[in-house]
Amino acid sequence: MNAVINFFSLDYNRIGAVNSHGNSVISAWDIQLLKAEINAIDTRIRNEIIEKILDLRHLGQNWDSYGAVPVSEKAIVNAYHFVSKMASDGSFIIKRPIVSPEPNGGILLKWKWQDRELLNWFLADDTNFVYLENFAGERNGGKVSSLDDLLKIFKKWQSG
Amino acid sequence: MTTKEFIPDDNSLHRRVNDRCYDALAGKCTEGAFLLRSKEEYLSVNWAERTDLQTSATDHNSGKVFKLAELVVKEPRAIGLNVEHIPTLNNHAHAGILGISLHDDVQKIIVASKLAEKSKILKQ
Repeated sequence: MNAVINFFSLDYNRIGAVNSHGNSVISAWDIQLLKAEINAIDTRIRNEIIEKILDLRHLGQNWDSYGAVPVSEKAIVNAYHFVSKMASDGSFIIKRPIVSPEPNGGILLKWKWQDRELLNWFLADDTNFVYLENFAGERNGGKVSSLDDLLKIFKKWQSG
Repeated sequence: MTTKEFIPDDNSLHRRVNDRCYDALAGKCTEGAFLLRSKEEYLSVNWAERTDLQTSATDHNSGKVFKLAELVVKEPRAIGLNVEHIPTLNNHAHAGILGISLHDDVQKIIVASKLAEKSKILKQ
């Protein structure tokens, strides 16, 4: 007979599993290995996202044929710091966003989950950040003034 | 010929799309393809029925060929925007999507999101 194992938490900070008697069936060592594996995956995804962000530096003047300006260093640095904050926060699973330039020199990062989307807009020359939530076609957006506030919006969106 | 004409609702518009503004997984363009630049008064497009795919897809200054997004005229009109024929000496098919907020970034991205969602990428 197969043992019934219940993973009571896949939260990074509370990883654990119990059998049908409520006894822990996962050792501290296994938890450390699992955390190391999660960290490695997060780091790999973070690096992939950052590579895409840095790649936008190669876009020159008029990259869209309608007069778009190159992506600004400020937008790149802000998007980079946001992704780094996500990766180091450790309280949620990192998902790959769609990375896109926009014609004013900013960067757009968009995450999709089922019928929900969150778009973060890192403006070219502004310290504000624009976000847009799209839930089944219902769109709501706003502006925040810090990356920490933007991260709070992201966490709230990801938690549903 | 530069006579201005009315563009019917069931006609279509073309807009060139850089590869970086294309989500290959979804087969859709991103909001970056439909965001207004800060000094633009309207979004430049081509009236599909007055041109051809190759002409619309080509940037005639650089000769570079882009992906092409197609949008039915009634879609921007359905969200309160205007679509007008704005012919130029070099491009009789030139048109514009007008009425996008020039100063409100949140409104700009909402409009770009709706237009990107309603558009489809034409095969080149």
